[in-house]
Amino acid sequence: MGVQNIRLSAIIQLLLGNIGVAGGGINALRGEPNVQGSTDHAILYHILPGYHAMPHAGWPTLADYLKANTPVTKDPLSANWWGNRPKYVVSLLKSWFGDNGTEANGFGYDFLPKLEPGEDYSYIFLFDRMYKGKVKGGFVYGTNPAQSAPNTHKVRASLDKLDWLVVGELHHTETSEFWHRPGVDPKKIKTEVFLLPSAQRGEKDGTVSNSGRWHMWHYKAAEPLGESRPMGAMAVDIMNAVRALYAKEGGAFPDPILKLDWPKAYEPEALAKRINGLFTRDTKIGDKEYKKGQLVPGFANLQADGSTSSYNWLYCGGYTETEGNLSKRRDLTQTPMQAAINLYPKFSWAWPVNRRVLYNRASVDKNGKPFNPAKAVIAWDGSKWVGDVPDGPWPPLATGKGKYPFIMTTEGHAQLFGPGREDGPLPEHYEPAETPVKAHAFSRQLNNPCMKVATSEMDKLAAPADPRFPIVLTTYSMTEHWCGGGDTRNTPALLEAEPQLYVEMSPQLAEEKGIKNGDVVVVESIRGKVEAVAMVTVRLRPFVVQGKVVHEIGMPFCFGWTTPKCGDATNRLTPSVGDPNTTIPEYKACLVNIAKAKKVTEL
Amino acid sequence: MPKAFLIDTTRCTACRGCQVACKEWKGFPAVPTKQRGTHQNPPDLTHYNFKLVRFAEHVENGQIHWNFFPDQCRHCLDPGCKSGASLPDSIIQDKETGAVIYTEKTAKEDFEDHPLLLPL
Repeated sequence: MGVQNIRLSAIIQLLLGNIGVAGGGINALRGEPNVQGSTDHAILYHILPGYHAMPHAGWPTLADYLKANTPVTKDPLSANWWGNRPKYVVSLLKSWFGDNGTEANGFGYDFLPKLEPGEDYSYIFLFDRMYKGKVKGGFVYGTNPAQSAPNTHKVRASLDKLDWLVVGELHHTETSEFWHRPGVDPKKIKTEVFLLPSAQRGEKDGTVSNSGRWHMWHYKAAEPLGESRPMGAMAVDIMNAVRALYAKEGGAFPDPILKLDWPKAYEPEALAKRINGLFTRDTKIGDKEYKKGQLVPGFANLQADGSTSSYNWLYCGGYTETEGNLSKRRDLTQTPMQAAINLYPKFSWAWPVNRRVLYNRASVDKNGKPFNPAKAVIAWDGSKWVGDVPDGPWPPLATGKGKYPFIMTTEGHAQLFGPGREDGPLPEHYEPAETPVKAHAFSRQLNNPCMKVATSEMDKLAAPADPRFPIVLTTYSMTEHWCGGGDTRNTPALLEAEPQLYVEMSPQLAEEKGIKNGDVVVVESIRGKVEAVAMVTVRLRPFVVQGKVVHEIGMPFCFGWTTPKCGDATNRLTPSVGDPNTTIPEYKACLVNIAKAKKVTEL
Repeated sequence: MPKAFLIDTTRCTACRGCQVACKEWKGFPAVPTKQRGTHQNPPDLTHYNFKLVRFAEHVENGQIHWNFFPDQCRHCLDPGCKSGASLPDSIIQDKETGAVIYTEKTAKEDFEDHPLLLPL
């Protein structure tokens, strides 16, 4: 439902002309752990850094890949920015493979692993494969799937199938400790687990990117404790050890490993330069000459001929020869025009090219005059743009030399619905995979027909209006604990403030079930049971849905068994059902029942 | 000149940053707590909690009101704890700032008998 809501909001904002203007957009709240930065750098399986599709077996060569992923337009007024994709992809490959990336091997494209077309490699299906014994081992860095992934019983059972597991973490978590979780005999778990102690955020240099795409440096404030190290150092050093082994022993296909231009040691500042991009040889662009090893001044200079490298074209221009690392800027100076919309162009640096408002040429008319002069983002002063960095260098459309404002779409115009989505085109109301109603109130289609559902014997779903599970559960975060709580449950002052798992419910439901505030209750779904303390509150109220009273309860998901007597994963209740496009799990709604606990073991 | 804290409770979202920051600043250890059916934890001010956000909720004309109150020593002009104290100078008032200051002797006061005594 969240996806449908966001899509609907985006369409409404677009119809209202609220895109590219000050205070426009829908500003969907993103998650806490540097979601923008990690998405830009492709933490997810479906993209390479900089939002390029992941290569699949249907695109065996770089030429096939670029042909399939580089849009073409015949409209001279459309900038069609993705027409530049070959420059960004080749620069990315050059950053990975250096001098070993040549035209003959597609600049290293031939070394990349290729997905099976149409396969889903996201979290839900990764654990589905693991559960079915198809995964032998893996690395988990700074995430706690045995606590935060849906249908946690299945996730924990999946980890039992691994031969080996490496966990990079600050603390012992439900994932690093899965082999001696409650109810399990460690002697019967075959998995060998390695725990690599990680430095905490305050113990390392690096960057975070916020939802406004500001790239901000953070400084190390203290030395890492004991043997703990930044995760970047773990990745660099482990890969160097693997490379040494391949160099010595060879292997079935050593090229992807040995032909990497891999750093000798983890050095955040050097990495930031490589993210920006470097010239790989002496190069002349127009009448400007650049030396090998010099920083590329902006992504307009990236090339498809192998003369430039960049880990991520979006960040190109964020580290310059003259001004250094722009993510370190904390200068608050601004023009009066910028002050009117709270724009601080010299504080940190925003991708792309320090533009703070995307599609900002949509905020002006054909002559470059702002539709809202009091809150102008950019304006044409007769010879140049002032205000924010304009979305493209061209003069206004009325000059005849302009371009349409929506430069990232092939046609140059905004799209009410994007082509290539699994569902749609327009948003629709669907019931969740588990719903308290038997039939949709105004449609023959009850659930999203494209939703992704894992299908192992542990992936049970309650039938619509299942009388055994009449209550709707929603789950959420809280202020005091961060995500799965692995970090904050080990921060005593925060655990003091929120010590144990609770379940919020209405006084009406509590009365119906004979539950008093502070009682321990058992919450049960078709997938598992969870103990929690009842928090009876007027903030939850019964709904009347299709003439029937439906109760909703709410639980946080941050409490896990490695913190004694605080409760255990709420996600033992939630289903492995994912959104059609992203496979984001349906944490927000499933069916449960509750009863007062007869015996308390988890709290 | 006497000084005072001004807390605009209309802006309080109960993030409890003040509660946690206060005890961390003073280097106090965490006290053991339990979930008792409320977000208010610890239940009351303690020797290691000089600041506590209190939670209260009720329904009025169908509207839910959820109120937060960051509680702490208010450094009263006429402190009830001082006048109720049994030992001389166990609680003192700084003339310059008006700060109500507990001393080593304060620990010897009988807290059960003096509900006004904030455990500072």
